[in-house]
Amino acid sequence: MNRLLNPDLSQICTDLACLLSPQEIFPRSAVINDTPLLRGFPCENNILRDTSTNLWNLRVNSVSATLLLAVTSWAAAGQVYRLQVDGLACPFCAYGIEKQMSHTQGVKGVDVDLQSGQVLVTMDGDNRLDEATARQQVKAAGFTLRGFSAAPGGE
Amino acid sequence: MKPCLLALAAGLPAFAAPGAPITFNTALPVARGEFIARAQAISNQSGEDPSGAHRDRTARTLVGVLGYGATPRLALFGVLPYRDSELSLDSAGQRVSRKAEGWGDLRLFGRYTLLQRDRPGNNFRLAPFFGLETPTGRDHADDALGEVPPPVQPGSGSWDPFAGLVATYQTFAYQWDAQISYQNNNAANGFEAGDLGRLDASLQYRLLPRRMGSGVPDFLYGVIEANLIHQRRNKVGGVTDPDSGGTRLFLAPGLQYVTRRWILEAAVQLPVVQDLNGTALENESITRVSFRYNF
Repeated sequence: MNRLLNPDLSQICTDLACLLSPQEIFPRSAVINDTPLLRGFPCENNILRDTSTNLWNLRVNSVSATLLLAVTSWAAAGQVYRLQVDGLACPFCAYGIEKQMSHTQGVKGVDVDLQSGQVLVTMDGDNRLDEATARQQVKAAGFTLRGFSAAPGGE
Repeated sequence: MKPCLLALAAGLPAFAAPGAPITFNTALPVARGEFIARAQAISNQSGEDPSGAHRDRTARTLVGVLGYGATPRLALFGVLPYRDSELSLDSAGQRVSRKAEGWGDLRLFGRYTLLQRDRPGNNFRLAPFFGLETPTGRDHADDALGEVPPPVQPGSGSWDPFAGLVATYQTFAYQWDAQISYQNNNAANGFEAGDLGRLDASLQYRLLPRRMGSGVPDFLYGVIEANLIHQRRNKVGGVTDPDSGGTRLFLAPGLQYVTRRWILEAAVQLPVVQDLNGTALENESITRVSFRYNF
């Protein structure tokens, strides 16, 4: 994301990220270049715990949120698919899935959540992912696809 | 004892796969088209000598492992050691030291995942493996006193097949692995190491993070492993050596730090039981530090 934004916008993103969870800001299409948009931002929950800082950021970002969402829309990738994968149990496992899926035609980004076993696959432009391909790639990584769905509101 | 078997008895990797054990490797899947590289430093100290010759043996080994996922179920591996060994003993009233270093024998093997059960947050794998230890190592190394004895040679000179079965069960909180294997050793240069059978088990328990967060957090595992190793007697010039072979049981506490791309791990194997034949040399400890990278 930082590569897509100028420094000022990047800072705005950072501020907003301190107030909202990634899901709140980017309910979908939030994966760019194999990296979630908010990964690496210095936010964490510590600022949320600080009421005064929180309010200050809220004021600043009430304005910047509009800007951010506009930028997000511009930078948004294509359809996002949600894969439910069985067998994922350690960080090392996640890399195999990421590598296999990212080699799939038209895939722009892959984001794994270990605990839920959920893999979000973001497509590039108008590309689509079908379940058979997803199943094959998950199998190639050594795991089992249990669920496949397009994220709601996908393009 | 055949030098390569000394390392094997000490737990030279029979597998190189992502995840868990330190003193042996497991059946966790290697994704199709994925490579895994592992570098391991092993220091094996032996010195409890019942023969009265005050034998003292130190073996330092650097092991390079490369694994490749040929298919989702079939993984191919190569293991190449570089060994530096020294044996000191009292002989005719003098302290004598024999030393050699060089490339050891290349081990090639394949593992096929026969049974795979994936559930949300856990998995189970059962995989047989078959391989061959090839006589690529230096097996005529010499020092100032001439050709060094087999326990000091980096290579064996013989073709030695091996096979086994490995099982793994993994959850977010812990993982266990178990392996049974057998290696049939053949003669070369007038020496035949005893065949080797082993049972290995490993338990890894996640210490950090205490609670799982979102995304892919790094894991720190506390590890305890056990290695039960039995070796038959060696043969020298076709004659059985009564002072060789036996049974050893090691316990190995360790730590393992696991990320998406790499693993850093260390363990110390401590002998708990050494029921050896005759005056076979006992192990004192084996220290292992290794690094794995997934690419």
